Amino acid sequence: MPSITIDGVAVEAAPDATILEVAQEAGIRIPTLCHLRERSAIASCRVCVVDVEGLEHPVPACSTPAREGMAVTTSSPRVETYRRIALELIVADHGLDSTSYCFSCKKNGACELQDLCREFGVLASSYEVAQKREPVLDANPFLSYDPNLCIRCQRCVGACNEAARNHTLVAGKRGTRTTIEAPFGEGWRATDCESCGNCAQACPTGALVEKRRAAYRSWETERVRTTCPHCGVGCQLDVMVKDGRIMDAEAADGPSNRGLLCVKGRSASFDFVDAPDRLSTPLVRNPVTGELEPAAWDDALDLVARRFTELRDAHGGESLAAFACSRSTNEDIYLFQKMARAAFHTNNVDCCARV
Amino acid sequence: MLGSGAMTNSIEDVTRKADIIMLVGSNPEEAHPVVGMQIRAAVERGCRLIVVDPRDIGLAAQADIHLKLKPGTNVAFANGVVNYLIQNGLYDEDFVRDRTEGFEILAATVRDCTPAWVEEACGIDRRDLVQAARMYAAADAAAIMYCLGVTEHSTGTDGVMALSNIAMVTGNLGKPGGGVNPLRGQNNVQGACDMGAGPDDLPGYQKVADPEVARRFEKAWGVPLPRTRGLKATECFPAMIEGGIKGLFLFGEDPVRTDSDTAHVIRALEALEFLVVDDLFLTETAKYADVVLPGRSYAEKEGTFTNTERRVQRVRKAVEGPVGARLDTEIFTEVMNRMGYDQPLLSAAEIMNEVASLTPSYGGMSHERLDSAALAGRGLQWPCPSEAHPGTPILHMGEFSLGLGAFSTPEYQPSAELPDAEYPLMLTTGRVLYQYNACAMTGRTDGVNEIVDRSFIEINERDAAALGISDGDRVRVSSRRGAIQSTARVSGKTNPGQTWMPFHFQDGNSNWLTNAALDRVSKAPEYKVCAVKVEKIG
Amino acid sequence: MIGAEETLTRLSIAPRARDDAAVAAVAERFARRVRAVPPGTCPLAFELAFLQASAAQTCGKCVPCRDGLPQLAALLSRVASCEADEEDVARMRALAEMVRDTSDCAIGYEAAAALLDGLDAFSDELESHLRLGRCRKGVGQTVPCETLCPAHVDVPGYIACVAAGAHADAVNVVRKDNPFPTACAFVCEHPCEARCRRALIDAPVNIRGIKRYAVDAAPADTVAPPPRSVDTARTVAVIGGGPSGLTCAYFCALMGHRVTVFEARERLGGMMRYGIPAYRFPRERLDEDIRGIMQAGTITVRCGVEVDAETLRDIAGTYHAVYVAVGAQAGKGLSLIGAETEGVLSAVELLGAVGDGELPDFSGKRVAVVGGGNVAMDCARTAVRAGAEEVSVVYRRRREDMTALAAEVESAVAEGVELVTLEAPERIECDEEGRCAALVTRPQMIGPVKRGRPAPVAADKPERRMPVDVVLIAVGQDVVTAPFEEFGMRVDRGRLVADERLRAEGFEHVFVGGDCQTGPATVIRAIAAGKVAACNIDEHLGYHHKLAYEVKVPSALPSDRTPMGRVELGERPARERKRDFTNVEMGMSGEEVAQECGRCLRCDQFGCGVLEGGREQYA
Repeated sequence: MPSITIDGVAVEAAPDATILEVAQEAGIRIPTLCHLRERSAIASCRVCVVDVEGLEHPVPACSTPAREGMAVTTSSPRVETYRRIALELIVADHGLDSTSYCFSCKKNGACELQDLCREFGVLASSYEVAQKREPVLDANPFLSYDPNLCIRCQRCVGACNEAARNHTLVAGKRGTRTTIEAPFGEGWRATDCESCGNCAQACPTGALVEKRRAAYRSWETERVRTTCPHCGVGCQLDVMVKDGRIMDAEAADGPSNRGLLCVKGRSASFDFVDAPDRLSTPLVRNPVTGELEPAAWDDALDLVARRFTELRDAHGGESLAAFACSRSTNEDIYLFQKMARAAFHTNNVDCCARV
Repeated sequence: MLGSGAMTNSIEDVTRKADIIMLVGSNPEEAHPVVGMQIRAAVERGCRLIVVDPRDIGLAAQADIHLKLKPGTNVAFANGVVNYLIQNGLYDEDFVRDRTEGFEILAATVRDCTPAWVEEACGIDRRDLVQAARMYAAADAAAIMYCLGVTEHSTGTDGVMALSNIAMVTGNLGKPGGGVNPLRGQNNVQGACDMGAGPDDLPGYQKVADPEVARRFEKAWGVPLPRTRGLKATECFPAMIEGGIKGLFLFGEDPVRTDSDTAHVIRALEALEFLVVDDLFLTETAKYADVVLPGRSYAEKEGTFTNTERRVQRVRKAVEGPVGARLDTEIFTEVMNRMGYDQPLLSAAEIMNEVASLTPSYGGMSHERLDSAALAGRGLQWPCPSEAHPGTPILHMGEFSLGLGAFSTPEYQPSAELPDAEYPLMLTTGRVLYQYNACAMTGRTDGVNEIVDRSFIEINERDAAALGISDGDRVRVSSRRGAIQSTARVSGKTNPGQTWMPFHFQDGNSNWLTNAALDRVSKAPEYKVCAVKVEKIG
Repeated sequence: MIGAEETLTRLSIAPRARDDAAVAAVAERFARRVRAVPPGTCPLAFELAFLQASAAQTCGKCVPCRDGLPQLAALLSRVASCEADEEDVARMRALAEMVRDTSDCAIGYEAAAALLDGLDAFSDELESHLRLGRCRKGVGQTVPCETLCPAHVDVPGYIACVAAGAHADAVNVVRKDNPFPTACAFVCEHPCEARCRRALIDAPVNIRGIKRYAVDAAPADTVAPPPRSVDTARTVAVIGGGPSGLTCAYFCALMGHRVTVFEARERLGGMMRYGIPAYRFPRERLDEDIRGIMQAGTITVRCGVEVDAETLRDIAGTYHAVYVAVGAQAGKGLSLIGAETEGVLSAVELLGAVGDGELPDFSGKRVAVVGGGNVAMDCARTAVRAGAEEVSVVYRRRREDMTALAAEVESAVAEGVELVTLEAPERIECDEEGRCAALVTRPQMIGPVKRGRPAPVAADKPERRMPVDVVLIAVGQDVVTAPFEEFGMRVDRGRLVADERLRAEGFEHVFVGGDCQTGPATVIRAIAAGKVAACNIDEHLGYHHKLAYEVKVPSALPSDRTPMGRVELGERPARERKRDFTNVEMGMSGEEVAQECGRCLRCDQFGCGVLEGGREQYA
């Protein structure tokens, strides 16, 4: 294992690790913008430049392999200047007035560019700022792309191609006019886009976003880490809770999903929670009208217990059955089968494993 | 055999370490999309892919070989592979000698499954079968992944066993990048089975019929337990009609929409004396209930889910949920107490502690440990018998959980209902990317409905032409059990003679058509094959 | 959705970017345009074009290149249009340094480095843009060939004359600025062709070839020079009868001054006689130019006069003005062990002897020539003609690094000369009788670029021993400065010092020019210096002579814009030419010269040529 020093601290580097990875492992912060683990390592933004002893010019930490004996300095007047220039170039590309200086941006407060600019004291760009008013692509139900805010870091491209491997989102045009061809415009249905939104999660700015972000600011929300309620993959996700409502979901770096989600996990895993047709009171069938009518919990539970007890006592436990949903928690199901076996006296217990 | 129906290996292990993946009866890009993404990554890193599926699923386009076999012929295919490997000396002699039993019987059973016979039975080119077998056998690490396309047949269990034989004769069990790996359908179907939601098994697949097990649970629970095995859900429905079962507690299930042969299900529910449904919504099934109890969703409770790779992960309460709904564990506790069983009200964490105390494979699990920094959110994969145990990413390392690996000897049986003159087409059902099962959850998100919310039926161009059906036409689809209306999607995705429908949509629910013929062991219904006829409307 | 025909096959032999082949053609066109940048172009405007071209090459990945280059271009554009201030330049420099230091690939960092170098190289121009709001004096396009000819010969003018069949007129158009039309027709390195505007369409016009046709058709000694001015009775001494001295003599004589040429050798012509072999420039053709010059007026020639300090003092005291143009006559030596061995000669010694008709006999000998310049080629080819059994050129760099014209190298190779490159002479071994026996060399490998050229470094390989009988050292010439230093002229780094107007430092009436002032250079630069000296001497003497010029250059017809190949001059077959000293190069035919003249775009009358200040001529 190569040994290097970062700001004078000796650290061991994993084989093939980059300076950035070694620093992160050692808990030393190097600012980054375009880099996103397992998504994008194209090294485009130069925010992570560091000095390496013996090299004339600074190098991007995210793409430079750590080599035995390297002496890395993460901050110097030149490095800081270059980072600031990089940010000013990016801000000039990003523009500020199409969102009224972040005011109307969906990512305000959750924008990595905004955070870095604040950190480096970049309040505006000293370069010519693009006056872009390109149309926003927002026909997709969940995702939208505002080319005016795009800084062309290609994290979304990495997310679609390197992570989701869907190969739908690509860089379009070329050279200085490089842009992102996001499949969210008219005709989005005809594309191979799976609407998984991994691109949006990768976007550091407000360019490629989940539309749900319009309804909240990240500082208003609390994150709760949980497991997706749909298929058996067990993707880890964070639901974003604002005022007792789930506003959005984001992928977490779980062992089975590695930071990925599908369209269902990201966008269709929580609206049902406060759907207007959620049941909020027990219903009991009126023997006269044959209709289900609201009832008090005690009455409903008593009725349930009484009728099952009667049937059990009259016909034996085998006359009862209990089926649990396979999307309930282990704890629910454990107690449910315990109820069946211990209270119903039946082994006629099953789940929808075969459905 | 291998014991329970869980992935022997982990998703990450299979997708990162396998040299070849044989994907059978599974469309992960739509049914398990995040695994689909990881399989795409595997293929792009150089992993070979064999797709065994009657339909042109998306991954078929990336496969080295696509064996587009007839639905319901998985056993024939797998036996054919095993026979070819044995006949050509491509199996792992050491592994077979040291770790398995019953090889000779297996060899004899499959002896007649020659490539020529497989070609006839499965409708695939024999050369493709040979190539697939050789490719699989040549890999250092070969993984099999399968899904409901294997299990949801009247011969589903045989299909699983036959596939396992392929892995076992080649020594692809108990090693990284190998294994037999079912992609379980629902997020906690693994956990539900683990927790004893099955007529034969107490938690941890401890058999109800085992007196030692029963005694232990009776002691813990302080109550005598029924010792004879119960009925599986699919067996219960006929028992309801016959009057043997009179009372049913349905927790979160909607069989009217999801079970095969809907008419049969409704008849069964109507025959019940008392039906209780605990659910979030007034489902199609709840409409038949005597009492409906409003429960809480995953977002409103603490708990755990066990994923398809046996990984137990936390579910955490994010919101309160509607006033008036109650925690399901509270409901069960109330019912138990009111029925005379003294069940204290426990938190989810306390329930898990009870699970751990009674279930060896969950012995080392607790909410506290799952939440600990040491696990860093990676959960625990069972078996995890003790607090100190790190969990088990790969099963059957060194030895099988049940000692020597016994080969099963399944013989190919055609599907229960095959096309005939009246119902000339074969229907298979499945999932689409944007919806989940009965859409109880997904259907309440407008965006996915905007993408797809209507029933459709995929039909081969040749059949469509013969029936005068064009893409987009409204059609009537009928089977011996019922008829629905749907919209035709004409393509080459299915072979001639075969159709495919998603099972999500109530406007044309395929389960009015599907056959409730059951697998002899698992009692899974044959969702994947039934005979239908398709007619243009108007 | 992927089309059906695309799913049936996976690969294609078609290039991914289908326009790449066509782009290559554009690139070639672009490159020609860049190479032919008009003299006088504002350097900052050119840097801007460079930056914009660089920005067009960015792949679009990295911020410094993708966003930085256009921002640099925007800033530089302000500078180029004189709208920028010091602060803009500071920002531009800071950004350029960032782009240079943090770009991933050369598209970014090389563009920024070029800009930074340009800002330094063109600091005066930058200053002018910032402070005065305009380009520096002298910036502004002029006719390329005429400008880049050191003597500023009216190239389009004489091409037009040749096209019209007025060959004598063509000779006199040349002579207006250069009294050696024949010498330049044979041996000029033709800097006039470097940025010929015709290159934008196809390739530069073969200017020297056209001139060769003119002097073949109208030999210089048959064309009367323009009439001389009336005698001024002023005396001018010219020290050195080479191209520079004779040019000065010619123009001074035309102006009416009385000129005396002091020449150390037996005959006039300098290096044109004693350096350049006859097979490149036949002596009788040199004599045509010299006879033409002698017709100009009162020129007294005193050959065989070695001028020492004493003589100089006499001359300086006697003549109204003195022009020192003694050239670089001493062969540079190499500090090799064995350099004094018999059989080791300098190029100057060899070629000088040949100039006087003393051809050595190398029959059966193995000859090694050390050096890579034109003189080395001249030595090698002379050795071939002197009967050498084998001739090698030993050079410590690569063939492409040789300073000799590529055509000269090619001709030498064609005549059987072997190039032994990347070998540095280490020592010379001699036999028992003290005669040269072998040249031992140290192998080299090519290394980093120093002062614009890749420099060799010693390679880790064993020495090489080449058995040879003769070693010719052709590694450059030195100026013999001692007598002039003694006389009181300043010498710096082996050269006589003069200002840009060629007045010797510390003297009112002594002028210096040619190789002795610049170091070894070309005939045309020596000629240019002679003309500058003549004019400035005239001014010094108190005159402002205008020389008579009686040629009427035909006016221009619309240019033929059809791309067309350039006619090259042929050579006699090597096997035939290598045993004699007869001229190697053959002139154009009548139809060839007509076609070649037709390619001239007449920049004297189109484009900047008609602008005030658009010509660069002395007259």
